[in-house]
Amino acid sequence: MNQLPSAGYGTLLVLVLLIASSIWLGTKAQRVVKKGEFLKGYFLGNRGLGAWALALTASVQSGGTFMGFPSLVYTHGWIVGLWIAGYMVVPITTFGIVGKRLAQLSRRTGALTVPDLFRSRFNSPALGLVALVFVLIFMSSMMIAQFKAGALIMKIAWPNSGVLALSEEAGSLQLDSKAFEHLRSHGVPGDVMEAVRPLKDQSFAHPNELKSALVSRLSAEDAQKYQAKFLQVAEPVDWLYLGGLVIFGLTVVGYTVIGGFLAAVWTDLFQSVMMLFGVVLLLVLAIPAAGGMVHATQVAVEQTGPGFALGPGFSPDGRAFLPFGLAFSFFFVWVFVGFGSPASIVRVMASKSTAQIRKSIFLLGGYNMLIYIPLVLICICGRAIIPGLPPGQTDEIIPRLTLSLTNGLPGGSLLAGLVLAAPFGAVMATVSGYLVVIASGVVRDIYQRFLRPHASAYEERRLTYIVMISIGLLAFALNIYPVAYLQTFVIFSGSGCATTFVVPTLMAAYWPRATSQGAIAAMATGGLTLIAFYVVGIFLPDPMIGQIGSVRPAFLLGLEPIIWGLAASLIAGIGVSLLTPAPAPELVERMFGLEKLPAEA
Amino acid sequence: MLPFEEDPTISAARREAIVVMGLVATTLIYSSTTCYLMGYGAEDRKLHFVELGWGVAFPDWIFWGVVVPWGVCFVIGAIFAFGWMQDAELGEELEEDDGSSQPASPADRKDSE
Repeated sequence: MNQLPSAGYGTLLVLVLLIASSIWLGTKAQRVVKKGEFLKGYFLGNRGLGAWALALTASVQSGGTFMGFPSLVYTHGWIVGLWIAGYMVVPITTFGIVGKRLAQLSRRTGALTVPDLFRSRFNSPALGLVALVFVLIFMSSMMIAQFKAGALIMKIAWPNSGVLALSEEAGSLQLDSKAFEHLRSHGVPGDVMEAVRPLKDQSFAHPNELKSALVSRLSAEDAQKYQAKFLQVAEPVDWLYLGGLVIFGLTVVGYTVIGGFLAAVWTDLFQSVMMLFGVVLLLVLAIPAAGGMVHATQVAVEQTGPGFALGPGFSPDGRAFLPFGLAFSFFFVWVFVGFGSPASIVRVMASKSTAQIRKSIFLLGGYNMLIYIPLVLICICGRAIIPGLPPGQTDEIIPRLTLSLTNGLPGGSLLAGLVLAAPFGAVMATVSGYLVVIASGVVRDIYQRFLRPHASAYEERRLTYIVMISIGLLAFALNIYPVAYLQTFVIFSGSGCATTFVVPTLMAAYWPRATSQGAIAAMATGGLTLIAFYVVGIFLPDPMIGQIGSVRPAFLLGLEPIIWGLAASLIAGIGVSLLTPAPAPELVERMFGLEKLPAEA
Repeated sequence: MLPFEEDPTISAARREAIVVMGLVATTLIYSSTTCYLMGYGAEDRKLHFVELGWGVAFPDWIFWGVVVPWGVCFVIGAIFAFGWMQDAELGEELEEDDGSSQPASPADRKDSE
């Protein structure tokens, strides 16, 4: 394996500049928010989003785009091009299916949030509440998981730290010399220490892995007696990670609190441009370094097998990464995650006009092509340039490749910073966008709707700040011992939002006969079906398809749960709507009829 | 049949949504079938590349099954956006009468101005 150069001061400098720019954009956004009503300005940017902001911020890039996705290409090969192919229609589906209608409905109802939109469209507080519960479940889990990624990137960028720990499964547990000394001084017998000595300095991704190793080397009695002590000392406090977590948390919560929705959107836009720059730069450096794509593929195939260049993809453990059923399913995943995410819906609601929506389709189409196809090429080259990364470290391929390819170039450290800014920006953008959606749900859909309908702007603002800071603190606390499997969270959260909101959104937009009970049934059935598939998956044996990892859903008939969730949601939505009394004619006319002028009304 | 005249914006949006769904279905079937027929389950076959110059190349099944339809979708998206999708008035914002968002303090009043 190639020796990895550490990040230099230039890398840290670029990230610090990115942080400073984000905070500056937050303060600029704050000035715009102050020009109108607090809630509408803070949570919806006064419905003034232009084409660039709409296009480059309403899609579903996240930390997974620059960590989980590259890891998949590195591990499984060209097949990941098909895995991500659904993105080719994401721009036209995100904006073309419901964009215009949602922008219109949100104005007709005065809705500022997604639960607000459902509540007003169907005149049902219960529906608004159900929508809010699902927003909180799916978006909080995703947002909290992203804090880990932000902290890890800060850790990598620390000059001469010599670490690359993006990996979710990388060995974070280790029994080093200090650990052994500590155990000896705390009464662990010499024979036990000797039996465990071969594990010294080995890395373990997960406590269970260390437990298994201990069980294999100790008697059952000793293993039970001393296991807890070994686990305790194997997990030292990682100060660089904690430092990264503090800096990341303060930055992202800080600028979002300052500028609200617009701060999230503007920084997202700025970071999206940085991502594009980083990807193009890396592509230009990687292809010549790998000797061209044909050579890179040949080298990779020699290291792995012919499956690296063919379907259903190579896997070190022999699983079929993308059998036909999953390839079919993933098209649905990306298409419906795109317009089912409340973060995307709320941005469409904030669009300035239909002309901006049209332009966004074009801009996002070009952007996605320039991000995803080059990322596949870059990571195929990565396999040839940095061969043999173990499964726990493949998430690191982009930063490793960046540091490797820019090492020795004039200003290489700065260039590495620019490329590393891409995943950092993607993570910040996701967290800030979700933070706004979650806070708006609490303030608008609970506090203002149910507790204090006549709350003053001062109260609303104070509560918003308290909610955002509290969520930030909670995310910090939960990430001191972070979750594993970020990419699983990304797909769980995205699929959950899609199965919950896609069908009710279509019903709200285009079906006058849809009832509030039908929408509740569609939401609950879709969301709960997806959760059920993930819960059942825990208890089933590994079907040897899909991604490697210990957390996976049940794949009924070899399909992703999103297919079953959407089908269940559709059946429930239509069935319950037809079985319940039709909605009030006045409500239907207000939502579907020609808008009446004040004199006519 | 609705007992009132439907807003033409909704009819246009519905029509556009159906066209987009048709495009999604076509792309899904074309891409997955092409990749499956050209690139699945033949590990002993010789790999063919489509080379585009400057070292950029794709296995033929990825090129025809993913890269080409991606480019076509981009072009169709542009035609859809600039040649077919209609602009519409989104209407006036509903003003709420629940008293929310009213400035409460002098500082807030100043902010609202």
